[in-house]
Amino acid sequence: MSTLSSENSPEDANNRSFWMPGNYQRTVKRTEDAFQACNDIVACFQERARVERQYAQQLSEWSNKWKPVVDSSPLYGSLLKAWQCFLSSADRLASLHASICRSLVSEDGDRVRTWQKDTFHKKLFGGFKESQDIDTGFARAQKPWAKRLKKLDKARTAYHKVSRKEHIAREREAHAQGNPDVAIDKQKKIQEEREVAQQEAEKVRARYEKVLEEVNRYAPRYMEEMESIFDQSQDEERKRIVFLKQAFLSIHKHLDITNNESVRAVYNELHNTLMAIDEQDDLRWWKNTHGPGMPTDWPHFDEWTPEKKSKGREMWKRKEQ
Amino acid sequence: MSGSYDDSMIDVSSDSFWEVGNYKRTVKRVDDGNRLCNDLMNCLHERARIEKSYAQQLTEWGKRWRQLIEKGPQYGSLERAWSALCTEAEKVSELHMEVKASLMGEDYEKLKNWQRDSYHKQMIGGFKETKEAEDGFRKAQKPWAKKLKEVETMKKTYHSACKEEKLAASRETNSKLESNNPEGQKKLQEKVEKCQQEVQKTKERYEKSLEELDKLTPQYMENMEQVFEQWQQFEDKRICFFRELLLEVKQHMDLSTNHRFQTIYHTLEDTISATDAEEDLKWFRSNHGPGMPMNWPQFEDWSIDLNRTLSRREKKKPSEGVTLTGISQTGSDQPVQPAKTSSSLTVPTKTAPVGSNPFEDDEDEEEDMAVEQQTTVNHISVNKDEIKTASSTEKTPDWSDEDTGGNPFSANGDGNPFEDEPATPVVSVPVRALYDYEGQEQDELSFKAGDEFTKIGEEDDQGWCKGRLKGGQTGLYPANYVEDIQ
Repeated sequence: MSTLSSENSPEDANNRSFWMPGNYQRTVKRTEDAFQACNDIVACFQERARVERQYAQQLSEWSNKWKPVVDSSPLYGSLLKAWQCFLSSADRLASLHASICRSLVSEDGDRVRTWQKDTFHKKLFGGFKESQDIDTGFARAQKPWAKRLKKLDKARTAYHKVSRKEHIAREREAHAQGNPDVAIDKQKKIQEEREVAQQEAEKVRARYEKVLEEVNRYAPRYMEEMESIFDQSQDEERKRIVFLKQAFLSIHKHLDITNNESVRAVYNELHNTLMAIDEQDDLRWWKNTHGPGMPTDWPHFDEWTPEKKSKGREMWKRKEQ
Repeated sequence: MSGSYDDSMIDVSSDSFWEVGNYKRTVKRVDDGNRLCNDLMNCLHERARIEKSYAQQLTEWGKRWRQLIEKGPQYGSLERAWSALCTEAEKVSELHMEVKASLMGEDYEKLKNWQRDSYHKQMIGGFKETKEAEDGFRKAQKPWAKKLKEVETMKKTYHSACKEEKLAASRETNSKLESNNPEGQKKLQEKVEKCQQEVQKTKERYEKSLEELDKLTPQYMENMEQVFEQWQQFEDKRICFFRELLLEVKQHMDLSTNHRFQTIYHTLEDTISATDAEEDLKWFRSNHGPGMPMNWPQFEDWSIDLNRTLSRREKKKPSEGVTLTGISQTGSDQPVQPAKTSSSLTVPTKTAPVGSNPFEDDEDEEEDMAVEQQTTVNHISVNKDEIKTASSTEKTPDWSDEDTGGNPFSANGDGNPFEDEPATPVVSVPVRALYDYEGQEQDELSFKAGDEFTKIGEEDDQGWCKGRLKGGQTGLYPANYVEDIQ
């Protein structure tokens, strides 16, 4: 309904006019559509929530898979920490996305459902009280108008009929008058006929005009009553639009991770951990733990002693640089 | 491997780097570097896949709902807001695809290339770099290791000499106590002396060997350190590279600092905030409500052209409607009455030969009826169904019902000799236009009052005739707009 379809003729445009009998239906339908829209919105964001949840799950799985791999790998030092941080940040992101999912469903979805329940009351045999009220209101306002229109139609039709008759009669008279081929008494007859037709036409015309005046006199009241019902509908719609606007804003807030403090925190921490990678530190550690920096007992004179089995590795503490 | 840097070395483990062969850990580190590259690549690859999958789902969701919303009854700024939420998903999806693209296209590739450049596979298996390290250490260690072995041997010899001596000494002591064989005693004593000498000798040799080893140690250490340093550098490069890479990966993944990501959400918020209930309500009112234009009833006068516009809609093909079977005949028909000639609504036919209107066969007294029947004919075409709009219409069925006993065209029982003709008659009557007429549809003629042309088909039950203009164009025209030419 986002575009107004163009009509081909002004007649069509008029046919669709709100004021024509029956066309208030579109306004009534708007109320029904509003109910359905709530369902749609809830469904819409439930699906979105599912997408978020899947992403969260996959991130979690990824993190869980690689954690033991990394932990048991030959990595060491700050580099190891950094990689572990990558994995744990994925974990945290996963739980953030999962919470987005939850809030979409539980907060936003619920809010819409609750509003829907409060705003639309189903009737026993189908339909909604709200839309029915509007429908009834319109119907009531339009009835007297429609009746008068019908009356007008009849009057107009009658008038046109006699007008044509009169016209024909005139034409005949015009042709007959002064025509040597036409007998005099014939001419007179024609003239009489014309007079009769003329009188008839005048009478019917007067009636038509009267009916028209009645209709036009009633028009303001018709308009007022229709407008009043319409305003009611507009008020309901206004509430709906305002509510949905808030709902959408809330959804937006949940989705917008740029403003999510936790997300920022995750990435900040990761960044810091990465920046903290210090290869000098790591290398030094390695040197001292597995390399030349390790303490060692250099071979020394190992005296023989009868008590001990000559395994002879005595612990001499010796510090390396 | 822990990452703790505990510099207080209480525990000196027996697998010190300096022990023979223990450089192997450092060699392994070189080898491990290659494996870590593979691990990291796989890790990134999988993560990239996750991003892609998320992106795809976002796009699907966004597209699907945008279409549904467009087709649905939402309107105005609220519709735009809802749509914007879907657009957000699509845009976010794009960004995640970019993440994936960066991870694979840039980071993964970079890593792959670095790995390829740093580790060179050998034909016999293993990596060149690993072998180099192995070789380097071994070479540095070889002389010292050899010497160490010698020392060990010397030590063993010395220790065993000590043992011997001890044994001999205790034997001697024991024999003194037992006081038997002075010769045996002497032998033992000699043995002891010999052992003591052996001990001395081996000790000296051991000590000398040890001293030589000690002399070698500094060089050993220096060489080993040198090799070690070389491979520390290698590792240094790797760590630095990984750090750089990980920082880039983080940069690619961190959308929260991505400018465009932020823009998406700003735009979205703006669109939703722009939801204006009043604007939407106003739109609805103008397009579906009381604000719609309306032709309020006015006085609609009757005019001669009224029926024309409407009858066209219901117009059947002329051939169908022709039940009048005026045929070119000899002049059995009387010339039409003057009354008819003068009527603008009839088709006077002065000459008998052609398409005579069956009504012309009627007696005089039926003229009026004929006229009216004729005019009925002309207006019969107006169909009730046409009358939907508020503009004036005719309800001719009522009219015609009133005026005639029935459709004059079904006047087969009138005794018109010509009505027995089943076929479409050939007609050729010169006629003159009484009024201007502008063809409303493609198959209609246009002419001005006074124009002369030829009627080539009889009037159908909707009041249309087929004619041919001087220029040769053929088409339909309202029967009562012309008169026969005398």
